[in-house]
Amino acid sequence: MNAQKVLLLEDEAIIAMDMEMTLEAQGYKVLGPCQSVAEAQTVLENDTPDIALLDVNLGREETSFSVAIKLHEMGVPIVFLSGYSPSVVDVPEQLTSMQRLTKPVNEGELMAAIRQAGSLTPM
Amino acid sequence: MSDGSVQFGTPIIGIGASAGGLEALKAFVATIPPDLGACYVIVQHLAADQESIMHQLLQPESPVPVTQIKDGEAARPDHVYIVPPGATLELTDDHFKLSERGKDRGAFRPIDIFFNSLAQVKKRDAYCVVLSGTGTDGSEGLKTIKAAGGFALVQESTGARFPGMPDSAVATGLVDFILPVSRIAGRLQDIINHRREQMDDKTQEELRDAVKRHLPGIAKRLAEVSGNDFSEYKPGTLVRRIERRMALLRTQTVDQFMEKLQEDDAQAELLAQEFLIGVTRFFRDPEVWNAVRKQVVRPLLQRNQTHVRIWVPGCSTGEEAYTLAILFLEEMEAQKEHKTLQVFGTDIDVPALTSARYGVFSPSAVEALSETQLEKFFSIENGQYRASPALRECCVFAPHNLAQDPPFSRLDLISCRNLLIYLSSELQDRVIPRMHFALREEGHLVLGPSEGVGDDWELFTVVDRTNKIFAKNASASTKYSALNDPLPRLQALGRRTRITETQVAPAAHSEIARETLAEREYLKRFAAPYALITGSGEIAYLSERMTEFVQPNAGVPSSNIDTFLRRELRLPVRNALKQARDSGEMVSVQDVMIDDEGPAAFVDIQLGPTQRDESLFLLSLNRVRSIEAGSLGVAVQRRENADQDMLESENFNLRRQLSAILQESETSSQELKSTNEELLSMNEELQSSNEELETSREELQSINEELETVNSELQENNRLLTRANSDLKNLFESTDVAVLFLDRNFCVRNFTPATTRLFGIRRRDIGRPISDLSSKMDYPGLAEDAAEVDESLQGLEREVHVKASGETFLLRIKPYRTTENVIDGYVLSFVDITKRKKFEETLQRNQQELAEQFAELEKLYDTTPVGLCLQDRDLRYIRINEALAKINGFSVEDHLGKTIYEVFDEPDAQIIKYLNQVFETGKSINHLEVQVATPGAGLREYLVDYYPVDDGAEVFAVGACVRDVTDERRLTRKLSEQAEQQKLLLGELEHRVKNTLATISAISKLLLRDDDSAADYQKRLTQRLQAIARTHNLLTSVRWAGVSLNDMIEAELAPYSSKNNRRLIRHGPDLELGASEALSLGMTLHELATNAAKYGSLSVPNGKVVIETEMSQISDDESEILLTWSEIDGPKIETSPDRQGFGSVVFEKVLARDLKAEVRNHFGPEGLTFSARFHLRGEK
Repeated sequence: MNAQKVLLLEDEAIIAMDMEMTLEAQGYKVLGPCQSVAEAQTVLENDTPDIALLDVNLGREETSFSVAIKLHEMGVPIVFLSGYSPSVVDVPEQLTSMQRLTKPVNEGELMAAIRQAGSLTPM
Repeated sequence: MSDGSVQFGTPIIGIGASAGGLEALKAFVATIPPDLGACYVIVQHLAADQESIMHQLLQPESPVPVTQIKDGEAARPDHVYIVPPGATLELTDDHFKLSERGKDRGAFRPIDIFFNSLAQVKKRDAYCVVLSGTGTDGSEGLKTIKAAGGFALVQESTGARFPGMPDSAVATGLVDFILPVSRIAGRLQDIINHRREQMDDKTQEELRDAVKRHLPGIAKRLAEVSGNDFSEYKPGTLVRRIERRMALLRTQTVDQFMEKLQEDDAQAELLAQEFLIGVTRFFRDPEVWNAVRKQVVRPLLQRNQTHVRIWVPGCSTGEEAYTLAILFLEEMEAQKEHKTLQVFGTDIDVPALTSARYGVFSPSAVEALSETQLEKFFSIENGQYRASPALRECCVFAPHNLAQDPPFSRLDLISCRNLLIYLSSELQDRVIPRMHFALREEGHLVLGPSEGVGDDWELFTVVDRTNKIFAKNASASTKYSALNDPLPRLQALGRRTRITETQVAPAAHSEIARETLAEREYLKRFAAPYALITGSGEIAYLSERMTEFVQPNAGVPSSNIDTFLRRELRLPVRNALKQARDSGEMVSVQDVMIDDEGPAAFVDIQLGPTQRDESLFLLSLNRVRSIEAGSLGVAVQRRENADQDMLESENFNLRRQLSAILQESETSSQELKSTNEELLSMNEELQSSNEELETSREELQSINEELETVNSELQENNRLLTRANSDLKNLFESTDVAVLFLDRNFCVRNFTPATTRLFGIRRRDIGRPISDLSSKMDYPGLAEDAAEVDESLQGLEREVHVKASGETFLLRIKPYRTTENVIDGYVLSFVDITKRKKFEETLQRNQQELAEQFAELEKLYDTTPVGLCLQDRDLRYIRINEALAKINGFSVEDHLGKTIYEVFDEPDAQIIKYLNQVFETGKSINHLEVQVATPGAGLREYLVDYYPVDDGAEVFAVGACVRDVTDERRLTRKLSEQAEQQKLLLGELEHRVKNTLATISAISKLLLRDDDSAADYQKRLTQRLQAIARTHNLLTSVRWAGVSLNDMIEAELAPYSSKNNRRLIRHGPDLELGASEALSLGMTLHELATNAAKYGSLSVPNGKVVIETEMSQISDDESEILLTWSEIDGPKIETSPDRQGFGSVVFEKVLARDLKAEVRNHFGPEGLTFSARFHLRGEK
């Protein structure tokens, strides 16, 4: 079985690195990490992930919601990551059912969310 | 009527007097014996609200004490009591009971009320005296006293000032004595003393026995005189009445009394009348009549018969008969069943019947009747009630003796109440079967409360035992037969001369007794012809057989016996009549020959006065048997001689008469002549008188006409005067203003009712000086004020005060001017101004308050920071305060009176539009936000309200309310901005913190090496964390805006460099780094420095680090940076050290990512050279 591909979108490098290492250690393939929406979209042109792990706020007032919507249309399960408390974040309607994690994220929590998301992907 | 032991209590004498009573009472009281032991009670007609001083007026005349009665007082003997005004008196035992005068329908009859009570309580010891007075009060009471066995004395009406009451009392027919008032007391004394003498028990018994013994004799005498048999009445009643009469006559023994009875018809009649005293009333015992109505009348009316016949035996004055008639008439109307009603009322008391027929009753007699009954069945006549024709027609009153005369028949109802109790049981046994006989099959009998049908139970069945209603038992055979009755006694018609006005009607026809029958038959068949003629020869009655002798003359018939008799008989009869008339004896003429166309016949004439009536003569003609032929001639001769004698004497008489008449005629003729002459002269005189009279008449006529005119003027005047008077009266009474009219001496002339509030004044104070009267107010200065008014002839005003009630009055004194303008007194009017004064005070207070409030408001208006103004329809400023004036930039004075166009060069069109809108719509415009460039203050924001001001009809002004809200708004905005900012910052902060924590988490994982001990791990981690902290500090110091690279370098390398030993060499420009760049570079620098310190140039003392930056601008806000870290003078590097650890990761991954940098690591012989190429945003 092929490893599931996880699209990682996170602007803080260290955090991105951390997550990448964790995911790869757990047997997932990471697409990225991308630091911006533009990067992510470039990746998507070439590849379709099985799961997407997206930081909500990408610095300079950019959010990952545009990518998220696109991913959602593509049927990719999404896990959101955010430094803001969930109540503050205005998630677009169609994405409200997606899992949300707050930073700093526990490894266990992260993997559980990813696995669950992964189980949703039609195989 | 109770029997029983006689108690001689204090005799009480009730004296009734009314108008003119004072004189009579004085006279009476003066003659009272001082120690008779009787109690005198005077009842008068007094006005209820007037004090009476009668007792004071009478006391001087009286030998005994005279006092006014107090309620509950005992009646003491030898004492005169007077009933106080406004009260009625009754007796209870021997105590007086006063009650307030009630508002009765009828007139006030205190004397009747007292007499009735007196009769009830004292019975035979009750005495009543009726003195002068108008009206009829006392008569009813008198009847009751007499019925109870008392005595009645009345003042002679000729001596009474007002004879109404005495006359009415006498009219009852029951008065014992009518005397001048000064003799009444004396007579009372006689009677009372006499009775006392009779009153010890032994004498009593003896007397009673004597009376009983004489009863049959008395009854016989009475029957002679009155035609009524009292022998079978109950002895008790009769004995008492006899005793009474004896007392009145002061007869000691019964024998004496018997003598008197025998001698004096009048006394016998009086006694007979006494026995007849009956008490009857309308609707006596009303519950009985209700029962009769329900059980007898109503069913009776339902029967299929057209006539209703009722009999009331013993009806006396007729009340019971009328009662029944009323009962039936009412029920007939109620049930709409009209029958012909006949009520027969009978009694042996003929005067009572007359009274019943008269049908007039006093107000107290009709007390038991309801208003409706009175209205329907009676009409008022002089204060008495007369039965209406409808009622009267139903009733027939006739004398009838229930025990002796045959009863009526076919009756539906017999009402015989309180009659049987007076009859002995034998008499009752005779009467009751008569009543059974008299009733129809379904007839009813009503008796009095203590009566029954005796032994004859089977004759009647009981319908209502309590109310004594019985029904005829038709199956029982009647025990009565008229033929068993004693012969009727002829009534003594001529002897009844007392009081009666009309002739007594002939007695009802009795059936012919056997004797009479026999007599009649005999008379018819066998008696000689006879006739009754009057003294003048007129025929009263002819027997059948007289026809033989009757031969009327030709010519005009007359009723004279002469013209009827045969020729031969006329002369003898005429003579005989004359003789009989003169002598009063029977005359007989014998052998009168009559020519009979055959042998001569002879008639004997007998003519004599009738026994009963002296004006009637009985003529009897007997045929004599024919005489033998022989003596015929003799007889004839004798007859002829006799005839001749008769003729001659008649002739002689006639001649004498004729001459006498002729003489008389002469004289008459003479007289006539002279009379005639007199008359002629008189006639002439009369003629001239007549002419004079004519002239007088004409004068009178014209005078009359003048008088007419004067009269009508006067009448008109009078009318106006009356009107003026009543206007004045109404004015007086309707006004609430107290007005007092005083004359010149300050005496009260008149006053309005309201004046009593101020002065204790009453109508009878008119004429008294005002100073006599109590006054509720302080007014000492009346005299002075009056004097002033006199002088000035003007009115004067003054306020007076009533302390007690706190009222204030405005007193006006004005002179009283008559219509001729003469001053004749003073008019004082008092107007209650209490309220007015209060109002004035309140008004003053209010005004003050208002003034104060107004001042407050003005102040407020002027000083309030809110701009206020008022503009009229021309947009002229009516009012404006400082605040708004300032806003507008002009003074208040510059605004007032000017329009908006005059004040402003360019008034705001929008404002004008608003103002006009308010005027038009009448609705306010609120919360307008207006920005105005205020001179000297820049652009200010205002909140404006325009509101309409109306006076109830239309909007006459618009008010503006302007608030400067500029500062407010600014502050609000600022706060809002700050809040926004704060929100952002907090968000940012949270983000950063989270990220930092995540970074730390990542770093802690990255640093993990298997071979580290916990302490080493902790040390390494701490170092990295401190590096981050330093970068954070720097960032914070510049508020996370831009950090200088040099500052960062210094911070990181500070531990390794000192002033003496500069190990850092810096080239190139400083860089301003953003937050994430600073963090990444900071970590990078830290790793580089750490590694250099461990393995590189900083690990040896002389080793140095060269940091170079090169910047080249790409665009306005972007530049390319090359950062180089070169380590020199460090230890020789043989091989590329294994510096892969955390540091290399950081170099290659983090920095590369975060800065999107091109990172190169090169280990030269000198040492490490690290370079990073990246873009940097931001202005230079």
